Order: sequence, then C-alpha cells, then structure tokens
Amino acid sequence: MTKELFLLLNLALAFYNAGTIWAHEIDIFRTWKFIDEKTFHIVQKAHWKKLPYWVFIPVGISFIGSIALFWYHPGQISIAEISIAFASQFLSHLLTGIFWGPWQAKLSKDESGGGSPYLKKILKTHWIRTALINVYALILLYMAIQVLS
Amino acid sequence: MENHRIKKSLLLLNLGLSSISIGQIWLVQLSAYPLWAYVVAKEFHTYHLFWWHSIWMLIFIPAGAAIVTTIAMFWLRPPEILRSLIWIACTILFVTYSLTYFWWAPLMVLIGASPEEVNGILQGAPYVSNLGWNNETQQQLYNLLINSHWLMVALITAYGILIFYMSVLGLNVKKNISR
Repeated sequence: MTKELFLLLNLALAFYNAGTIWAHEIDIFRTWKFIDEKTFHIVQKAHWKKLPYWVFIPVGISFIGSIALFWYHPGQISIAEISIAFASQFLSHLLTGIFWGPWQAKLSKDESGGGSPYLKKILKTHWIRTALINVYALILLYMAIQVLS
Repeated sequence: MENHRIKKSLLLLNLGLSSISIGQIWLVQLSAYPLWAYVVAKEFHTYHLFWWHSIWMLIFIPAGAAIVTTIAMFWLRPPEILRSLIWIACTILFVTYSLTYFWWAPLMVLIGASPEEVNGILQGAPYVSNLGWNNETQQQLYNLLINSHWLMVALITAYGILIFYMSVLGLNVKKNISR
C-alpha cells in the first residue's frame, strides 16, 4: 500500500467516524430524554450492544491509523500536522475516559433515566467530543488536499 | 488555486461527505431505528417528533453538499475519472433521495402520527395509500420501514464505495508520489 492510499483510507475512516458521532450527538442522545424511567435502561442497553462493531472498532482503527501516520505518511506532510491530528483524537479518547465514559456508566445505573443529571451533563458537553472528531477529519482532509491535489 | 487542484480537492471533499453519510446511515439503521421499538406508546409521539426534527440538519446538509459536489464533478473532475462514473453516482443519489421523498419520509411521518394527522399525511403522499399501506398498524409500518430502509443503507454505501474508487483513480494514490 502506498503512503497516499494509506492517507486516503485514514481520511475516509475519519469522516465515517464524524458521521457516527453526529448521529450520536443529534439523533440518539438527545432523544433519550423523552424516554420514561422504566424503558430508559432497556433503550440504553440495546444501544450499547450495537456499538462495538459500528463505532468502537472503526474508532480504534482510526486511532491506530493516526499513530501509524507518524511513521508512514507522504513526504509533504509535516510531523507537526500529524501531531495536531493525533492530539485531537487522543484528547477525545482521554476526555471520554475521564468524563463521558464514567457518566455513561453512572447513567446506566441511575433510576431517574431520561431525567438523570448525568444525561444532562452528557448532552451539555458531548459537543466537545463531536468537535474533536470533526477537527481530526478536517485536518486529514487538509493533509490530503496538500498531498493529493 | 489551479484548476487541477480544485478538481482533486472537490473529489476529496466528496469522499469526506460520502463517508459521513455511510457513518450516519449505518448507525441510524442499526441503532436509532431499533430503539423506537423500546419507546413506550405514550412517549412515542413526542420522541418521534423530536427525532424527526433533529435529523434535518444531520441529513440534509451533508446530503445537499454531496449532491452539489457530485453534479459539479461533471465539469470539475480529474481526467482519470470517466463521465460515466459521475452518471452512476448521480443516479444512485437520485434513486436514494427520490425513494426518501416518496417512500421512507412519508412512512417515518406515518409511524409517529396521531390518528388525526394520518389523513393529512396520506393526502401529501397518495402513493403510500395507493400501495395499500394506509391501514397498517404502527408496528407493521415500523417493520416495513426497518426492512425497506436496508435499500437506502445499500445505496448510500454503494455511493461511498464509488466515490472512494473514483478517489483512488483520480488522485493516483496507487503510485507513490511522495517527494
């Protein structure tokens, strides 16, 4: 595989992840507040069951890709650009580990369901994660335009 | 910006937009729609209405931008990309959004509609009624949506794969062009 094709695959995957994060941000999380307490945990559990294949694996591959780009990238791309791209992904995962992950875990045990303060916190701050994933995709688009056009 | 740079940048932008759509459509099909089945009846109307309004920005902005960039590629595309490929991409988009307008959108609205709203929706989408789907229960309409929506997933995915193929052709990524 050439370095250019590798960059293109990373770009497609980055925008795929941007699509899934927007679906979460606008389409899925915001509708949860309309679900009653009894149903809430069933809905949340059903949602998380679907995520490993369609969200976690692509995000994991994309993260590995962002690291691999340090060693395997077209010559026109500077290490500084790759570092910024990596930092945006890393920060997104770090904040997920510190905030959104634990909040989701607490939300899954909170009996107030859609009225939970953890859901309010998630809805109030999850746009940061959305922004970071989008920044990563846009940096890759910038890199690809630099190299391939 | 030189002309060839604009053409290739447009192709890359289209690749980004088509990838966004793949991410969205798979998550909607596998997670958002199946969640409807768990929403209790008394909450469903509010839940569905909120969902319906929330997807407008999510779907129509990338979809609209993808349509514009694909049409623009008739005039602005790298020479390696045949015009016939753009026609195939346009056809996929045309079929996708025509079916959305005539079939999936009315079905989605019908599923969340109150009994008083049903007649108004069927007046705006008579083909749904003509096809005999006017007396179905909410559960039957939901099953019909979930099953038929796989076609949309396939169309959006096919479009994304086609744009990726065009990118591989048009950007010469198989040749190592690193300097």
